[in-house]
Amino acid sequence: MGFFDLSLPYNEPPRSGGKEIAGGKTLRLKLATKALELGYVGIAHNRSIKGVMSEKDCCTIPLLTLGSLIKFAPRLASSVEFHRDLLGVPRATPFRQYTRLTIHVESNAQCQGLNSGNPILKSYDIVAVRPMNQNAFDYACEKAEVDIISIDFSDKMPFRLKHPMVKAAIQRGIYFEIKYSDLLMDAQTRRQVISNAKLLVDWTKGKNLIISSGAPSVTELRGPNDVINLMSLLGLSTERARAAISKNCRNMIAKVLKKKRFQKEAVRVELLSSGDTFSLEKSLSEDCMKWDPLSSGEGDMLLDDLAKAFDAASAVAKKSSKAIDFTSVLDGLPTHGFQVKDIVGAVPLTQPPADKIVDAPVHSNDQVSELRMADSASSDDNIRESETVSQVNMLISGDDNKMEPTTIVPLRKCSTSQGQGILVQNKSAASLTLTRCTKSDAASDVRLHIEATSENGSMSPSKSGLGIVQSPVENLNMETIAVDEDIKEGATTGHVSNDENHTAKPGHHASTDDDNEMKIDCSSEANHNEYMEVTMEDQKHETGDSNINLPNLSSETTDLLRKSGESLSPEAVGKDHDQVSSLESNETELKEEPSVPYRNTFEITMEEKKVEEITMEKEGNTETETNNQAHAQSSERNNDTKSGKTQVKKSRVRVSRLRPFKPFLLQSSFKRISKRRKHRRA
Amino acid sequence: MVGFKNRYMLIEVFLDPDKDLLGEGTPIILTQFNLSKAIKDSILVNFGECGLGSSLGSFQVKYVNPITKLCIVRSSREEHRQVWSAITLVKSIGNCPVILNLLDISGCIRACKETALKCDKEKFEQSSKSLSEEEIRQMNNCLEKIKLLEN
Repeated sequence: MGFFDLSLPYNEPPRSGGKEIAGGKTLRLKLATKALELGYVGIAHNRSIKGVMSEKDCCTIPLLTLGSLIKFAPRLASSVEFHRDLLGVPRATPFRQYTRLTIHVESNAQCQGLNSGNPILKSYDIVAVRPMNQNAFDYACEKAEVDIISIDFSDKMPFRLKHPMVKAAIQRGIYFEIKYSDLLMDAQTRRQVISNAKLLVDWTKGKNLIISSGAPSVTELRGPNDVINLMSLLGLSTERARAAISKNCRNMIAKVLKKKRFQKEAVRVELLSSGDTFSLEKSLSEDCMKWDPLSSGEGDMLLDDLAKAFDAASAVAKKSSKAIDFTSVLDGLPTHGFQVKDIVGAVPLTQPPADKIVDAPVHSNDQVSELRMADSASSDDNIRESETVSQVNMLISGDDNKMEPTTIVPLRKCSTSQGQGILVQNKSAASLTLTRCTKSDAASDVRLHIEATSENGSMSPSKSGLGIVQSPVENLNMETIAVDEDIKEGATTGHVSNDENHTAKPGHHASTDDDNEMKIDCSSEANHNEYMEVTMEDQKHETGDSNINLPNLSSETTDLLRKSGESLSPEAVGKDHDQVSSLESNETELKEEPSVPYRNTFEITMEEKKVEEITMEKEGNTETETNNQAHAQSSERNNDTKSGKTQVKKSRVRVSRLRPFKPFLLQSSFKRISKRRKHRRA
Repeated sequence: MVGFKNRYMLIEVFLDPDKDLLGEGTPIILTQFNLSKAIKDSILVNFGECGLGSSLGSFQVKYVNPITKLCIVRSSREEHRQVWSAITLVKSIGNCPVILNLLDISGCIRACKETALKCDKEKFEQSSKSLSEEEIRQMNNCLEKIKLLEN
């Protein structure tokens, strides 16, 4: 997650001199420095022009260099790190600069200039338009080739926002911009901005909305969290405001750069100097891996370089004695319970050991405060989380027939488009042979897994899952479910297990094949997390509820599972462990539930447990990996909550692992929980 | 469970950001009094008498460190978004233009204290080179004060 500020004003130097006047230059430097210091990871130098475009309006904005920033603010590096840590932005995130052009459009002739062939527009990274009348606004929404529509809310609006127009613009992927510097001006302007912008916020619902500063001076810049909160004045919720300042900006930049650099958004176009010879032997993939969707080519600054440059500049003055020993001060504080400490203990400390005592609470605080900042009312998170849990529970405890169609869809989707989290389940499911079934839904569940894999094996992986949902196989499935229901407990569902044996083979092959692809697939969107959650839960109940033993479990599969489990990074495992501790209270609660022996006694052998353990672990790991990536790459607030949820769920899965031999959650307890939840909600 | 809840906001003040970017000189001395006055004025302007009245009940500037320019502001949970917005909208303390930047928000003073100490430390180390004896003594006083904070 990184925050962007996509409109820092750039004042064109006077034509005669050809050189930027000192004031303009320093203002830009100041703004960039402050933005960097406040924790933003990307800025855009915005140049606005009025009237007719001409040749001399081509992009001539010189991007700032690292050296100038350092010279301007010598202690920048440490301050930036400090703020980034508090915001939860990785320290190593490069600081990016973009160029942007804002055109004030009044006449039709100007409108016509906003086409994709315009070389002047092409010279800038981002093109924004500021419509000054109704015609221009309509044209900008419907036809113009621009990226941003920036509306001046600070005055009486020269046109009316129309809902169909706004909708059309959103459909075309054009973003709307709100500048918060107007809010900071004076009471009169503020009133005007709030009343005007509220309408836009209402209609866009935070979608395709970008918040930027547009600050005329440094005093108008604000930190990302403050901006997010400030948007509550316009009726924008915290999550959406966060998305508007981070995710939306990111998406827009990625899109724009893709459009600029790629032919038809697929083939990369590069300038090749005449000296270079093109050879096919040179691996192109390596080059592709290096491709950064957000990089504008130049103007990226790495903080490491910043720190280095800073060190070089002040190598002599570096050694300063500590006037106050903070270690002692911190030691003097009372300790605060165990949970935080536990978390801290598991976090790999990168600091030198001497600072450990000081840094330990620091880490924990970061985590905690991040959560809090994300959603300033801290209880909100809990509520949401419990809601989803109850949803899943309701699904499971609810009517069988109702449940099936809802769970099938995500299953399919996952297995075809994602092919990782679910694969693990498939493997285990495929290797299982169902001898007896006490619960029909469990049986059908397993069958479903297998169906999913077999389809996966037979179809090309690139095929999307949506079409498959309605396939005849599903109908067949439903029939077998009905049959299972008729044959009550104790009866061996002969034809189900037969079918399974039949389908297990291709399913197994498919999964082993896909295993190799997993690493690559890891970077797939975090959106699928929520589907995986559901399926995971299913798997859990299924193993808990039904009688499954593994007489002919192939050792090959277990080996595979173990291998892949080991190959995952230990860091992810450590992270996983943290989550367990925080959920201990949940666990104890669950433990206290009366454990009725049910029918499945202890046919669940040790072997099976082991497999289960491994699969669980693997699931967890793959998920944390994706979560990590999602965390690092996308700045999406929603994703964050989702990943948080998955982590919680994951540790719930762990709970079962900690107590072998116990059917950890029975149907009865589920009903109780869901009833309780329902009650609370009511 | 307590019926009434507070929020503690840890705020960083950039004094006169236009002149020097990392707070080298101090044009004014930050005190609890002038900070709370600036925030209250902002609440009054933006949310009116009603807003001010409802937030005044629990509003308090708990701690101000003039060296590192960190402060802790308490507000009731119901109004803390309002107070926070008002804090964001503060443009100047006295005649000095400022940026108020929220670093952390927490539900109890203990957590806030811990974060504040951590931030104090980092900011102090950033600026410890140019400090005089007097300022270091003042800093120590502040650290003592932060340890004694209650509710």
